[in-house]
Amino acid sequence: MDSQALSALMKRCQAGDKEAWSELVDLYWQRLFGYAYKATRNKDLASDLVQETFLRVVQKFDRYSDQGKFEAWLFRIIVNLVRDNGRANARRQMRSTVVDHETGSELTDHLAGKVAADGVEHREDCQKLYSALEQLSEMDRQVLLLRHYGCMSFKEIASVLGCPLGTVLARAHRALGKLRVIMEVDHETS
Amino acid sequence: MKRLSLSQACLLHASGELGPEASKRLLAHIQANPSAMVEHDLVAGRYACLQSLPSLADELDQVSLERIRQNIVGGVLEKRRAHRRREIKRKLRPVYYRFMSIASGVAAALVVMAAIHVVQVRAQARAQQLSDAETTFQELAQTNLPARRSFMLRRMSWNRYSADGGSGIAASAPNGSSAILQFLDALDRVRLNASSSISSPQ
Repeated sequence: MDSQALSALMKRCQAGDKEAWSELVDLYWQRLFGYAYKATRNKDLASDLVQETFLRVVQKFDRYSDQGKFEAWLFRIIVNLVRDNGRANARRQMRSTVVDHETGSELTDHLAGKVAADGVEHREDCQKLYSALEQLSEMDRQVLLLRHYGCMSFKEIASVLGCPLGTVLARAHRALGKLRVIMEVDHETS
Repeated sequence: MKRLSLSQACLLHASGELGPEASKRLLAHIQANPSAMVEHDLVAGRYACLQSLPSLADELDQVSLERIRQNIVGGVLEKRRAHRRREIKRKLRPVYYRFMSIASGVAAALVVMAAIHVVQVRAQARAQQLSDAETTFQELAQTNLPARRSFMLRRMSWNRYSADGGSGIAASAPNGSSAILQFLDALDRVRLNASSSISSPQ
């Protein structure tokens, strides 16, 4: 959707048009959910976080002035929510261990169910990629998840994370390098 | 324009985010420098690794995605409705409080006015009864007939009893009236003696 159409849609939302809200949610939910799902590894939690993101938008929409940065704003909200959720989970360490275990298996189940059609080899590669992603630092993983699941450009990611483009590119470069190394080590050991 | 390192430029090129002019310059540079070509291929290979991650649509079937979509859209619309309700309540709260404070102020004023009215009415009634008693007492002082005096004393006693609210000294009013009766008889005797002493020299 181009910026003019998005601007018109947001004006309709600000006017309280219910259909416009449905359109807006339809437009972004999949990217937001994709990022939140991969970051939290929990489908229900990711769905809640996406809803919470839109609720924050609803709460502050009256004061929002459109400067063509809506998408960055939206993703900044969900990135912060995911980060807050991660911190809350870290505080509940005992529970976190159980959740990780459960959601880890949930992720594997999904992979097993859907990706199985693509062949065992591909599925194993994907699992390796996921476990390699797990081993990255939070900031490095965040950049890659926003790039791949949030479908954001590096420039937009820089805007969301509030850091220079060079920093984002450096993180992405480092993260991709680590990912490659982890994958190669895994491949050699297997 | 920002200056980027070779690896950063290669990453942007691999992701398709490098502008056409910058891409041309990068390609010219890597063609001229074999080490730059190695770096470019390395970065491109790493980026391809990220691209190989399955997307959401690859992982979740269409039914699951639709269910999640409905859940999210429904949840957002419901939360939006709840938010609007809260906003309306929040905006109406000061109006409600203002109305309630005015209403309670008016009610308090009415209660005070009613209380003042009751006190005034009671004071007027008491003053009237005292005035009646005074009148009766004056009439009593002017009359000589014992029967009438006794009747008027009883009436005065009753007026006092009513003025005092039917309690206290009113209970002793009949006894008091006999005392006053004796006192008035004594006064009569004094008056008769006085009149006889005045008339005796004649």
